[in-house]
Amino acid sequence: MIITVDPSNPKPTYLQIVDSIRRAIATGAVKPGDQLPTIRDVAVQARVNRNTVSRAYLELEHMGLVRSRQGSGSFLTDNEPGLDQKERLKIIKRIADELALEASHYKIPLEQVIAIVRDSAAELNKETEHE
Amino acid sequence: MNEFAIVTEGLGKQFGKHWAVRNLNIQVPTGSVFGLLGPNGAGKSTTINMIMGLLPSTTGQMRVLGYDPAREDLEIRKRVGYVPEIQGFYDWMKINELVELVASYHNTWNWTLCSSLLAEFRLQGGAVIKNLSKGMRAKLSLLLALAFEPQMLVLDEPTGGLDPAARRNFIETILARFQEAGRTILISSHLVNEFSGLLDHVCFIREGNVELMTRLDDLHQRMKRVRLVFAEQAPGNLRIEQALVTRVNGREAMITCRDFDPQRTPEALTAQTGAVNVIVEDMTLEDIFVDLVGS
Repeated sequence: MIITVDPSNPKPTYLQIVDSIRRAIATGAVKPGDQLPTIRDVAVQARVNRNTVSRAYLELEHMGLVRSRQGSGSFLTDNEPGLDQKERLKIIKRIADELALEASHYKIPLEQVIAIVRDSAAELNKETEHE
Repeated sequence: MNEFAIVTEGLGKQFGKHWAVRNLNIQVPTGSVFGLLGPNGAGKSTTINMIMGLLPSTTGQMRVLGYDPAREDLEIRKRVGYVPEIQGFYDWMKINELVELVASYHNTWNWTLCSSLLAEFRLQGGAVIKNLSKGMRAKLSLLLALAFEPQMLVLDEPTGGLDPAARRNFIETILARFQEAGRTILISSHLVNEFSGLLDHVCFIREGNVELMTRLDDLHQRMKRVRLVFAEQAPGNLRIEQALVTRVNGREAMITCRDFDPQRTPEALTAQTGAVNVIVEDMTLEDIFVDLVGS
């Protein structure tokens, strides 16, 4: 797994790292049981403060996606993300609201938006299938 | 260990009639990666020179790792790896000779680390310093600052003139070989976005004064750009109290807010301006630099 951070992206660095790892989970670049790179290695590779990487790893632990073993490192759990169904739906609803707003602003009809979402899901499946 | 690696109180430096630094109060937490950011001539190098005990101050106090730069500069230089903007090497020396010389000043010199860095940087011991490229000089500077395992690293515009690959390697080396618990890094730069991943605290300096000093996370919460969309032409003479900078074009105005409050600012702006749509955007560190201290 290779973690990259865009320094000119205004999104907080630790969240970019969290997203990078979540994406790696979604595409199968890391699998349950895999060991995550050390905090030091991620810091050097992404050119990011070690404390920031630490924070990202902590966040992933809170989300139930990662477990740290003192002295051994951090490992990907085989848990589903540690949020219940209601919370997960809330997150998706928020993204859907944004999507609806943008579509309305740019005058893209609903059927086209749905087609685009279907395509995105299909692409993601294809990436995951590639192991 | 002290809570702060560096504290300045009322620090000032006057050159003739001109105050390069005036009433500067900064606190660099121990273990932080602290960015001193500001335009050319803002007083960053002057401040760093005073902190390192290389330049006497006109007013104020400083404590660096618990020591007073005015009287205990030697103690500071034993514990702080300093990479200046322009390195005054003895150009006629070979790399080996300079390394031997600098090593002789430090009883904490780590020869294993030194050899390892020489090899990693591909610096040939027999090379004459005069013939080194900018990139190699920068690497040599960094090596000399790292090899005695200091408590703190102070870097003054460390990557000026380096190509993108060299700049990345420089940062990677610092992260790989220096950053660990308890060690502090002070970087002054205007290559802001590049260092934004590294920093956890920032201090913006303009004309010798602190404009803003805060944790990086807080900075991004407080400083936002807000787009105001109007039904008709945006008023050309828009005056908004919270706005640091206002840009107007057509139906849109974009303002930079210094103290954004998600609960209050959007409503306040709508009420004040009559805008029909208010969109909040994050700012990159470079955006913030330009709007806060850009000339």
